[in-house]
Amino acid sequence: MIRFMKKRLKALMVGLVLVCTMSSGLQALAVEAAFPVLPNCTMKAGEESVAQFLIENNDTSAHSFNFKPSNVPKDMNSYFMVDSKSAEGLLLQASESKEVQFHLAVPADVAEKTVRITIDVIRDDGVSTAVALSFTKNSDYSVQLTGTTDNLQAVSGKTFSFDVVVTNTGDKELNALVLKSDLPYKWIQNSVSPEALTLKPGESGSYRLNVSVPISQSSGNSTIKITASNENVKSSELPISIRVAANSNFVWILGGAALIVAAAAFIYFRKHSRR
Amino acid sequence: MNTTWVVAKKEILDARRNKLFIIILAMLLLLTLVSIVLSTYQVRASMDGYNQSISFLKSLGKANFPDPPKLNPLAASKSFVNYIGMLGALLAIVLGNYSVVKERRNGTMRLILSRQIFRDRLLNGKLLGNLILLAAICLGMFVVTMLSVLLVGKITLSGDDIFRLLLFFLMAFLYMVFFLVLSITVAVATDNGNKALLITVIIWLVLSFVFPQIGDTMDMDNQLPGGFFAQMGITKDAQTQILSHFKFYETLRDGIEEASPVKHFERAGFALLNVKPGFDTYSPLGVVAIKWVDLIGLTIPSIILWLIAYMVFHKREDIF
Repeated sequence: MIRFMKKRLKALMVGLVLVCTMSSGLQALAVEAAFPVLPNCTMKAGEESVAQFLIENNDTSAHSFNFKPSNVPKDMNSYFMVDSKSAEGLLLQASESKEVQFHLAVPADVAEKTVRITIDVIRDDGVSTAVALSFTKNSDYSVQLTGTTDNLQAVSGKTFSFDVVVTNTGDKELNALVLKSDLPYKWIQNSVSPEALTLKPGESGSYRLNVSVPISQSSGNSTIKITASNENVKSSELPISIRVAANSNFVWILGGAALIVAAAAFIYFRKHSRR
Repeated sequence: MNTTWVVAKKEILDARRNKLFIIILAMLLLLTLVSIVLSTYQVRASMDGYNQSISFLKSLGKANFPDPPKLNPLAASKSFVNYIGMLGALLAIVLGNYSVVKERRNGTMRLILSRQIFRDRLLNGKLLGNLILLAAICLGMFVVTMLSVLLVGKITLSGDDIFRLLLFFLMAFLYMVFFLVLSITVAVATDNGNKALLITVIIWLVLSFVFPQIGDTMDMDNQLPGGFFAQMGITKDAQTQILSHFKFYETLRDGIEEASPVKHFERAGFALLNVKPGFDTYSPLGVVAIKWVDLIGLTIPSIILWLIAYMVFHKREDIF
């Protein structure tokens, strides 16, 4: 198989060098190999992995090359970048080479441990070759957040509590895992209990958050965004939708005023009779 | 009921002779028509742009097309909220004031009350006639909106959209009713028609502009352009700590805003028209259920004012 691929690549006169990086700035895992290569790139849940490869046109005339990825899982998005711009192909002059980046957006709840993707590089005269990429999930540190209720309700001017369950989905223990909440303007987080959790692999724990809704919050839907993190890992953001109902104090005041005026009118007409 | 209906019919006929009412109504209808036509053109232009992009992509042999733009045809009515907030309220004030003052100026109040007619029935008749006028105006604007969106924008509204629009005009009607009742009450309580109109307009200005402005100005984060906290470089955690010390202040600020019928009308109106995000997933009645406080905020003050008008009108002898 490798010999066959080598022959095809020589025929194409395309040079390929592959390097894998993580978009999060983690140390790049560099793989440099003869053609074709199957580098073992690392992917992390909720982040973007990047595989770089160099295309060299060894022909004596200019050619355009198109890229076509296949076997990309449905829940992952992929795209190519050339010269920091999104591209589906490139044009190379004779003996010119350019670096191409293959970006793979990995969802936070990725189930696959390994993803194998094939990229077809097709030259304008129809000659093509395939490059296989392998992305393996780094699951040393991984954490997942889930809400405990779908229909959270709150009243403006009052406090409410809700629970968030955090699960260690990685292979190593998570220490000092703390919860961070991004609240709408003027909302106040009164407490979070416990302040930090330590979870063994596969273990789950729950936090209870107590939040105050400002009296000025108009009724409707609001969203709280929650993340759990420690020095090694940060979970993907968990949006929690809360339906805020209007405070009924205003209605009680209005209703009371209406009753007083109605009573006054009733007494008035009883006393002075109808005219 | 018969007496009430006779008075109501006379109110409707008399409104035709009120020049100020006719001018404000014409302005309101003109602004309504212009704003709807402009908004629907905008919606149509966005759709045309999207369709052109799709045609271009198809000509290139592409199969993956971008999602159509999320257009909200109801947003064509967004400007209504402002127009009704100003001109709608003025229209109701003029109608209410005219219904009482005209009788006084013509000397017909004394004549009417010398007949076998109860004072509360006379007031009810005046209210009923003006309610019918306001309802007809709201219904007319609803029909104009529907037709404009359909004919100019070439957009067919769904059943839910039509119901939302109808509920929005119901809110607009309740908002105008408040100022109608306020105007009648002040006119009944005051011995001079011009003074009554001036007082009502001052109350309208306070409720519609001063109170919401006080609410906005009192908001701590509105003290500096770009936001007080952002300009001072205060972190979100520090903001939370600061805000926790201002609960009473916030309650007071909110109370002032709640006293404004404009705020209630805006909150309910923007939610029904999907101008405020997050309400598109609810049914029209679901939105009303969420905004029930605003519905009450527009209704109960009118009832209170009407009861006061009964009592004041019942005992006054010196204004005729």
